[in-house]
Amino acid sequence: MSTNLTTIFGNEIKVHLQPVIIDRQYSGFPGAHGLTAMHMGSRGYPLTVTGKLASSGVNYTAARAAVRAVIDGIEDYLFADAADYVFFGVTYYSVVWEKFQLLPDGTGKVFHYTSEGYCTADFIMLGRSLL
Amino acid sequence: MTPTDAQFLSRNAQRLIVEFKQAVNSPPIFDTDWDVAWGAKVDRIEINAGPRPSVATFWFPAERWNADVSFNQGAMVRIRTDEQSVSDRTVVFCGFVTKLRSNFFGGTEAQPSFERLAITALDHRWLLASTSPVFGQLTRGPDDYENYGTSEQSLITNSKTWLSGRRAIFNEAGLPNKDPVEVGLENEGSTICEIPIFTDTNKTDSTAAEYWTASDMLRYILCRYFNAAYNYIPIPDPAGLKGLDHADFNKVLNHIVIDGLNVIDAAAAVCNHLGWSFRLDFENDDSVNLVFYKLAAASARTRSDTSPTILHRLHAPAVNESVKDAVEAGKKMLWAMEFLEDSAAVINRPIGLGALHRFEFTAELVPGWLDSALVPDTSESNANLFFTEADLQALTDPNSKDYYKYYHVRGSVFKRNVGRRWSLNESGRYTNSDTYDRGLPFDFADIIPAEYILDDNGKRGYAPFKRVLLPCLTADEDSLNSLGIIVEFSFDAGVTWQSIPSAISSLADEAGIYIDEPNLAELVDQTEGDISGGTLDGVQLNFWTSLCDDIANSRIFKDKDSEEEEAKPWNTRLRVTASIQLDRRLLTRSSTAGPNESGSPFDLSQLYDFSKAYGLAKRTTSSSFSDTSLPVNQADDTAKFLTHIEAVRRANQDQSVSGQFTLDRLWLGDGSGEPDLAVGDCIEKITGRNYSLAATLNSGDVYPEIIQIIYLPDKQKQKLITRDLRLAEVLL
Repeated sequence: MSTNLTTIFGNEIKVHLQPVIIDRQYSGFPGAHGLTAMHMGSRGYPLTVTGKLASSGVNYTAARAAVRAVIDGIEDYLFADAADYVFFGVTYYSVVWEKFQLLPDGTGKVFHYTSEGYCTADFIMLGRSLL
Repeated sequence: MTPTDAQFLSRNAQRLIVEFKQAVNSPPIFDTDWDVAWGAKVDRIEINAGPRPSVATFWFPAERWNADVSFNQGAMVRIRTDEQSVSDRTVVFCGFVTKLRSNFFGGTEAQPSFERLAITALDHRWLLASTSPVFGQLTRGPDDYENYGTSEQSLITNSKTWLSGRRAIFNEAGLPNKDPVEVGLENEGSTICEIPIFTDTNKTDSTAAEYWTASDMLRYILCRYFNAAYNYIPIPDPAGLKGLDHADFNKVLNHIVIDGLNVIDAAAAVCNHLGWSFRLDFENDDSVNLVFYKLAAASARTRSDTSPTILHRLHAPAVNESVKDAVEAGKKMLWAMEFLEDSAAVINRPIGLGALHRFEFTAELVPGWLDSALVPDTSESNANLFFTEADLQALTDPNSKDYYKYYHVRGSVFKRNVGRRWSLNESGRYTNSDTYDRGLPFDFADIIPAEYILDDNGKRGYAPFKRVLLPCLTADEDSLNSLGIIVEFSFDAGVTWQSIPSAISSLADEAGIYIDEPNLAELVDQTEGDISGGTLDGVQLNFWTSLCDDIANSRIFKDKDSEEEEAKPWNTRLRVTASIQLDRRLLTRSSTAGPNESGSPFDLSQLYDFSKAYGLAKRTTSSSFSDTSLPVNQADDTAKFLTHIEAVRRANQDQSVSGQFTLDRLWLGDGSGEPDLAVGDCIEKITGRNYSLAATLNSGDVYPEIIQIIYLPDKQKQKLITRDLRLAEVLL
């Protein structure tokens, strides 16, 4: 059963699956030209989710607290076992989440006041599809 | 021929699969099928030679330290390559779980946290060593025969007796103790093999004991009877083990003590004497086999039943060489190396220490008491001079008699040395002192041939230290046991000698004897004569009265050559035939190594104590047995000892060569079903740099021998550990 990424991050997200990471080890030999390479296997596909978290409330403080609650929910996924996720019909298999980071704007602010009772925060979530 | 992965510049990491069988019950029963532990990752496999078991450690990257991974203690573990076909797979390790290792670390800013659950397994050698001690002797008792002791005595098939109190020593003291008739061993009702067993060394009938060969010993040690791990490593007939059919195992080895060892250490003890070792080979059909091989003797390049060890060439590319050609040729690329050629440990002038020289001789002893301490009671016309035991029993107060009071062991004021202590006077204790004056110290040069007692300058090679008398080298004709220490008496100043049955012991603090007989007057002259002349004229001649006669007549006991004694010597004399150890020992120095023979320009010595193996023991012409036909346990091991020391020199005169070689990949057979390298294999040379590792030993080439292989699957590297070449040499 796959979890839709929008249920975690909302609708204002972009999802990127990077090509597989290859783990290769090289052995050199003193004085000689060339190496042997040992293909140690792949290390999964980096999965990046970027976007904007947005919440509203009766005022900015309440809206910001609501964003904070969403972030708490996202943090839980950092401890989760590998699971399948789906976004726009594409399934990402056996994904574990490694890092979640809020992105400050040019003034250093993370939680943005847009209008009364409305708060947003830009983020990046880094994960890895194990398969 | 399809190139293998080893021949590509870009290789694939080789995967190792961990399989297991749970240990059920005690002792454990294992399922026939293997389960795969998919979550296990092999950390390290260490393959060892000889009695040391191989060790494998694997862990579970996805598990917590306290996870239940279904591996219980004793579970059987197999680590293999992952080829599809069973026959293509290489079983790298097989053994039993002995350690569950949990650890975790909370982490710091500098180091990440971790949790780890690892499992260590040891191979079947551990199980054999831990379950199968060897002690006692397997032999035949009276109930192993029909009609035992009669002329119709016959063996009962496969019947034997194990005796816990007899030490398991093959060819004890160099004498044969193997029963010439082997006994059959059964397993589940059928005879699986015949093995030699122990018998009495001294048997002289048609079934006289034979010598154990090394092969006999190993067949005995590794047989079903002592193998308590037979269900896990069955060796139905040890004679069929690979390598045991080599002629080296037909050698007779003397005094091999295995009592108290386990079967693996006992097997190693036998092999060590031959310059052989063994390893455990894991087959892909689930069998594990002990394979015997000669140390550093690999000469073939292809492994076979007759060549269990092979030579390898490792490749360290030449300067500016491209690695491409070497890799495509399938050479074993050497990624790292530590190689040590050490001359500091060279021994090219060994010195062997044998046992102390021992000689059997006959010599007179001197009284170890003062003349003044013996006062004959000549009262009542010598009626109180002595009493026989029968006389004493009739007395109500024997202590009223001086003889009993002072000179009988039960006397109230017993003078314990008088008449009883006699010494060789080898230390000069009874010479020229204020109290004693028994003549010159004993001169060993009088009884021992000059070649053994005098040095090149004619100096005597001993000093006046106290010694002890040892049993004769001369032995009894029937039992072949030593005759012990023989004491003879003379009552005519040494003209004639006689043996008188009596209790006599050897002194512990000097070379001498002590007469334990309670009543010295009971030591009667065998001619049953009387004393003639003097105060004691007509008195019965016995040891006590003879002493009294000497004292009463003021005779002198000094050196026989002294004028005083010559004029009036004691009639009472004691002489002893015994053996004694002197201050020199069998000492052997090797010859000097020839030009370019040694790894060091210096003469480097080391003492080797072989005092239990070699010695010089002679019966001198002074011994009263020298003209008899009695057997004598003489030995002069000089030549044999020199041969041994020369072998020690040859084995140790070259540099110590040891190394650690790391290959750039795992050489697991690439589908051949067996690993490319095995312990016991040798490294002939390092190609590319054209560096030969051969050393000349006894006009043959020997090479560093692999004694340990470490597989590091995580790094996909393989380490080969070689040992000092010099240890590979057979001593004799």
